[in-house]
Amino acid sequence: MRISRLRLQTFRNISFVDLSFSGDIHFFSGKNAQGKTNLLEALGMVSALRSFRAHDINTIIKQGDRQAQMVYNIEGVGFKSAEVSINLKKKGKEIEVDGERISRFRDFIGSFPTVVMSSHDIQLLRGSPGVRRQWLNLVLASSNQSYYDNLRDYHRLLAERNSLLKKFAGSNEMKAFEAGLADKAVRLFKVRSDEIPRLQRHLKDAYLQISPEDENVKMAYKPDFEAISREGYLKQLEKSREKDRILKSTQHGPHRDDLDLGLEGRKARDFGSEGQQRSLMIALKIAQSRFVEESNGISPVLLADDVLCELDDLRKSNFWHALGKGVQVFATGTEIPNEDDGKKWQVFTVRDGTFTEAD
Amino acid sequence: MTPTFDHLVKQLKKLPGLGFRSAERIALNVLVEKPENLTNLVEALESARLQVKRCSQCGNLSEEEICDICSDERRDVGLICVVEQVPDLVAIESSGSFKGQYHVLHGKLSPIKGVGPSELNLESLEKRISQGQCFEIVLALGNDIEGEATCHYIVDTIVDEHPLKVTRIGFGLPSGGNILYADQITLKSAMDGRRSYES
Repeated sequence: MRISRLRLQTFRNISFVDLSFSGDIHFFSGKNAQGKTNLLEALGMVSALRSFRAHDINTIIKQGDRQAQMVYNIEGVGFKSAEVSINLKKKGKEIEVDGERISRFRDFIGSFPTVVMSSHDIQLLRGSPGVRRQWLNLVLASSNQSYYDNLRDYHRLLAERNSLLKKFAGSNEMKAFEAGLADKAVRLFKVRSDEIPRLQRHLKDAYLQISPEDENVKMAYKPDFEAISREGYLKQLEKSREKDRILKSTQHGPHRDDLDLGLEGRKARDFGSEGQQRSLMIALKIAQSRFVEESNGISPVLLADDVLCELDDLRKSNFWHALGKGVQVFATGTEIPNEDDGKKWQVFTVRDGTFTEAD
Repeated sequence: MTPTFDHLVKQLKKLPGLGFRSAERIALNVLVEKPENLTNLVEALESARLQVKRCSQCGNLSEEEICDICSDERRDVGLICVVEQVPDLVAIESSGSFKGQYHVLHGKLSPIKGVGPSELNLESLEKRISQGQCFEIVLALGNDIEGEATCHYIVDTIVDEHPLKVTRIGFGLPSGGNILYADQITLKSAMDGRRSYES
């Protein structure tokens, strides 16, 4: 997939911008707080209508304005090109693809994949399991639509069950919701168990390409409960019902799963050096990109926020090599990079929300 | 405008499906544009309030203790179709496809929204089942998570050990519908619910 043109209106500090992109690699250069990351954020929203850094969409709408608009021209999705328009309003989002209104979010997610690389990625190693779970869900949902449906239903059912726990509801009422919960839990467990090894294979390959050392990297699924069968999980729910009532929330299930990331058999978080951890982060994102491409045949666009400049020459060169040809990259940084492996960036200078293409 | 008028608009706005503008339009219509309709409307509301109630057996709207459907002797008392709301009953009834009796729950279980079993019309369903005339329950609730949970609750708690056949309505393509235009969830239900072909 390739984004050939982007128009933004009242998006954060950007009043209006209309950018056409030529070639495959594009660089936004400028001092801090000028709007570089805002542009990457806008590009990333085309994947899941979510910002990689803001939870509240109202912060995205330029101060004093009522809505923010984004229009993307995209090539290389299937055999056709598409014009995607997103309209963010204080009360909701409107999406159109080629002029046709998309009323359900699930029909849209995963159609236009992007992969974000930013300084937050280190949280995948050092942060809580929730950070890894969120990443895993994003990867699996954008390559498997029924996973998204199951995940959404699972969380709704979980919220209903938790609400029952708070009310000390009877066990018959609990069972009515646990039945659905168990169905969804089994499906989530199955997809995670099947797909994580595939993700791990891509991670291993990518890490060997990035890291100067020949180390063995491992990603393992750490399910909170092995929901192999519906009956098994139902039994677990029943067993923990009393405890759950006291704690007022469901203690076991896929919403507590985690991923283990290790190097040479040790936990990467605890033992990896800065360099190893950085290589691992990049490898994870390349693995994500390959995984999505393998699943739906669309190669995601890579959005690199301030990370490529920080790499040493060897890792940088390995990165470009691992990325392969034809992947579109949008990157930001305070300094215009040297030519990497003979690649020529299309450079935009960013100043106070305006973008000028450099010669 | 005036305090009394504003109060009226506020009360109208509480009705489902009405926003502020529609409420205002209705208020202006009955007060200024067509005041002759107002007396009839007030009368209709008052008499409906006094006369229309729930059928004590199935929960359908009725002006008698028992509704027309429950008292119709030609209908099969062995079949009970459980629906969420009265309009669902009306829709199935107008299709002419069902000749049994109904049971209206007036909602579905949703702990988050504060709807538990005691908020639903379940007690009289239990009573009807234990009378022993019914041999099949048709669960015609929507297939969203609350609808499924409600079905589960009915089967587990109310049908329980009664020797009943319990069926669920089918979910899938609309008749005469083109597969091409069906959304993915509908297609999936249609595929999951396929049955053997009998000519």
